[in-house]
Formats: sequence, structure tokens, C-alpha cells
Amino acid sequence: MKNLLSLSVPIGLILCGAGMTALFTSKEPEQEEAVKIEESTIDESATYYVFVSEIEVFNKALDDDNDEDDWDDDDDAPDVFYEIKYQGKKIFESPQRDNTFIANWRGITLPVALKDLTSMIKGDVNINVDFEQIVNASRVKGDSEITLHMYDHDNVTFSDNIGELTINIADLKEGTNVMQNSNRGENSGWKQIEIKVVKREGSVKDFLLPLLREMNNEH
Amino acid sequence: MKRIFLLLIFSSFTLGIGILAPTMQTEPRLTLYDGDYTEVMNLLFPEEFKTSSFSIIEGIQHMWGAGSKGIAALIFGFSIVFPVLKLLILWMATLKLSEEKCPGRSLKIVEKLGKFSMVDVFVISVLIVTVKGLPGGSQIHADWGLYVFAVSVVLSIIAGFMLAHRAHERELLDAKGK
Repeated sequence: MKNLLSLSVPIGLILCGAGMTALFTSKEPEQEEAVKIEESTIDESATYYVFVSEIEVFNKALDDDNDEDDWDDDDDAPDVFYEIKYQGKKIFESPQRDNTFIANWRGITLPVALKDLTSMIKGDVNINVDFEQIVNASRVKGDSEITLHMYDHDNVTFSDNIGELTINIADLKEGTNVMQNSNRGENSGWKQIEIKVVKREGSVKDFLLPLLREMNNEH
Repeated sequence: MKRIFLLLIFSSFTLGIGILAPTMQTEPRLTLYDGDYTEVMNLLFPEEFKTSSFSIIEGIQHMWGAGSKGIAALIFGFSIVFPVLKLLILWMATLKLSEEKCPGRSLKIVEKLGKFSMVDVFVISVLIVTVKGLPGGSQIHADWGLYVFAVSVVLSIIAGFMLAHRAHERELLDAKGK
């Protein structure tokens, strides 16, 4: 009995060592990363990258017998693209997304520039890639007013107008801005739009990080 | 005898630390034929690409959770149950010897257990070596907990040798007394 009681000494020491380790190595709650995009207000003097990550359009083909109600003549879903205009001048045109009621875009063309992206992040300046070329977004000041024009591309006639929207950048927030439209009308064939706003910081890394995160959030 | 007790005290304390301290550190990397994409992946998937440490207990939990219950049980046996049992038996034998009694069966068990000494450290080392070269260049490093754990095992081995030596002396004295 005495011997068994004495076993409490090594057991106690093991528990003491384990307890101390647990106390000193306990994982503190991870700090919010400084670069995380927050829902902050827009700084009117700063430059921002603005792009549409998603446009959802109404299904206009309510009556197949009436061509007026079809997006495309061949009964296909619309071929969506958008333009961003500043003071009436086009500053950005997106690539086209064929046959879809939900069109998506990314703010960055990653596959082409993956290798160069690494070099840029590492601060290697001797690369033959114009960084701006891999960004698929318009560049505007925080106090700008832009117009978003959405179209259904048509090869034969003029592109159909999906909708038009005037946006004050100052009314948006950094990150994702979702806009919904419940009333389908002549100039509002869109159902929902997601607009992403990313502040253009000084260094390439600071700039890339939020864009990449925005892209990552899409998945 | 004081030395043996001291060794066992330190061995017990360091064993407790070694079980819960970080034993291995995983460093995920993505190296393709045309370059190192770790930093890009770090930006894209910060959660998946962060460096993380595992203690023996956490490693066992992960393995158990991942369905490798056999290996988890093996590592639990050799890394936790075996060293704790070994220390308890050594402690009992040392107590008996300090009371000028022959440790008898305890000592035989200790001598048998001696054959398996360091097997616990060996198991963890094999694990690290096995997964050290992960695809994409990911790496696993030994962390400080493994060294503390090894110190605990070495101290218990030394205590075992000293105990065996003392026990043989005791047996010789008893034989002369008879």
C-alpha cells in the first residue's frame, strides 16, 4: 500500500510537466491578419480597383414564340459582358461569358502569371511582365462616379442591353458589394450584381494580397 | 540512491513535457518544376499553407481522427503507456532497494524493458523520416518537444542501469551475509 502510494510521486511529476507545457504552449487565438479586407469606408483620395465578380440576369425567355423575349436568337442563354465608363469614356471592358445567366469574373488572371506573380511577390524587379496586364479591373479614384453597362453580346446585330447602373465609388465599401434588383424592366435585366472594390496600395505585395484574397473568397 | 531518485524525478517531469510539447513541425511548400509557388499558395490558401506544430498527443489524435487507428494505438502504446509504465516500475524498484530489500521481480521487468529502450523515440523519428519528403517539397522538422522526450528516455535508461548495478551489489551482499 505504501509503495503504491509512493507511485503518486512520478505520476504527479509527469502530470506537472504536462500541465506546465499545456499552460505555456496553449495556442492563443490567432490574430486577425493585418491585410484582411475589412468592410471599411472608401478613402476618396485613394485609388481603387473595381471589377464585377458576378452578374446574374433574369431569364428573359418567358415566351419561346416571341423573339423579343429571348436573350439570344438561337434560344441560348445570354453571352454576358460588361463595360465600366468614367465621364462617358470606356475605361474597362470585361471578357465575355457565353451562354449563362450567372456570369463570373476574377480580378486577376492568375494562370498566366503564376510564375511571375511569385517573382513579383519576392520583389524580383527583373521580370518582363507588366503587372497591370494581369489585373482585370478598372482603376478609379475613391471620389469617382462610374457607370456600369451590362450587355448580351450578339454577333449579328448590336449587343442587347442587360442593364445600366451609375455607381458612386464612395457609396461602396472595400471588399464585396452585393446589389439586388427585384424589378425587371427595360433597362434592368439584371437580377444581382457583385462588385468588388480593392484598394491599390503602394507595394506589389500589398496590392496583390487583397486581390488574391478576393479571388480566393470566390471559391 | 539519491542519484537514481533524482534521475527518475527529472525523467518523469521531462516525460510530461515531452508528451505535450511540440514534437514535429510541418512546413507546407509547393515547388513545381519551374519554380517555388509557396508564397503564392500562402496568399491564396493561408489556412492550408501555414506552418503547424504537433505534439505526440495531437499527432495521435490526428491519426485516430484520420482513420489510422492501428498506428495511432501503436504510437500511443510506445510513446505514452510504455515510458510511463517503465518509470513507475523503476520507481517501485528503487523504493524497494532504498528500504534495503531486493527489488526481485521489478528488476527483472526493468531489465526486460531495457531492451525496448528508445523504441519510443525511434517510432517518432521513423515517422518524421517517413514523411519528411512530402510531394511538392513540404517538410517536417523535429521540434523541441522531441529532444525533451529523448532526454526523458535517456535519463530513465541511465536510472535503469544504475538501479541494476545497485541491485547486483545488494544481491552480492545478501549472498555474502548468508
